[in-house]
Amino acid sequence: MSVWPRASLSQALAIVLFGIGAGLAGNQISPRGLSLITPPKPAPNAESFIALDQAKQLWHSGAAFFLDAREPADYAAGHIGNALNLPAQSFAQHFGEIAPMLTRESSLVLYCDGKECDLSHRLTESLRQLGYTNLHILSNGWTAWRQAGLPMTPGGQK
Amino acid sequence: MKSPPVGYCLNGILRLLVGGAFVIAGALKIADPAKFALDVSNYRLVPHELINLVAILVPWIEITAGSLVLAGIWLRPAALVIASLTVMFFAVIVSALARGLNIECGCFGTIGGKHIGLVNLAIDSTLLFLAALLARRSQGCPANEIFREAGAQNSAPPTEASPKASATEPGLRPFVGGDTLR
Repeated sequence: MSVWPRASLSQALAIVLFGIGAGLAGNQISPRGLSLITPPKPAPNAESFIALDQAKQLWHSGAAFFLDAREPADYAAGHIGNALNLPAQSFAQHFGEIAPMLTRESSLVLYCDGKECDLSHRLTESLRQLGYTNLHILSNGWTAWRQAGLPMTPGGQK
Repeated sequence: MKSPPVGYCLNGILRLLVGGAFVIAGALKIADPAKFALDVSNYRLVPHELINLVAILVPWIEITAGSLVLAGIWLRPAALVIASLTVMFFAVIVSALARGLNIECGCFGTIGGKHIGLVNLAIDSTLLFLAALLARRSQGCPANEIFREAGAQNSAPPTEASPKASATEPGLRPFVGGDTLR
């Protein structure tokens, strides 16, 4: 007798095929369904950096959400006023808290700290993957904002 | 009343552990497919165009196989599918660790949210071992046969008439070692 009878292998294949069928059907009827083919990534140079003055205007007009891509401890130690914390390193864990406030078209200003910091770039990638298009990176955001004396929330406050 | 045979209890526990784990893992991923797609993309193994497709299909295959194991239907092939998935997950995590990726596992949806590491490999190894054990224990003895076996052991010793009666009642047919899955 063979280790895996042909019947077992056929049934295993049937299970996989049933799973595929159920997946396609479930995705079709689910309000959270995804497009079967992942939308292409925009070219990397399409990332739009935003100058501090523009970010300041957006902040004062209330036309954009500011997202702090740093870790929660850094955010808690001080952040741009009214900014929300969406850590790039644990995006999936925190996105659910932020998602209800946003639409795919929301204007989002992403920042971290330091000229070499790539957290806002990583956050941009994660958000683009989910279909968010209106993304702006404020380079060296926290330091630049703080040094310009713009509105911020000091450590210990939300 | 006699207690059920040890093998019957062990199979029940194995089915609950393995099937339950996969049903829960699949359901958590289905609850938020976009997050799971992101997790898949973070591993940088699947071509970009196929990320969504993988994120859509894998959880449903997990749920299908897990449900069958829980229900005790097509036990051996379902355990085979689960073992194959577990081997694949193990390889994917090892590959990510070898490339120094510091990413979330995505194994149980957003639960834990911890970065991949040896704990994930240990969980995968355990599930693989349990699935293999389940497949082996169900060899020639699918779940309904296990139930029959339990029923036969709990019932009174057969009289002369009873073997004839049991032969005509499929639900009471005693387990025969050489039975196949058909």
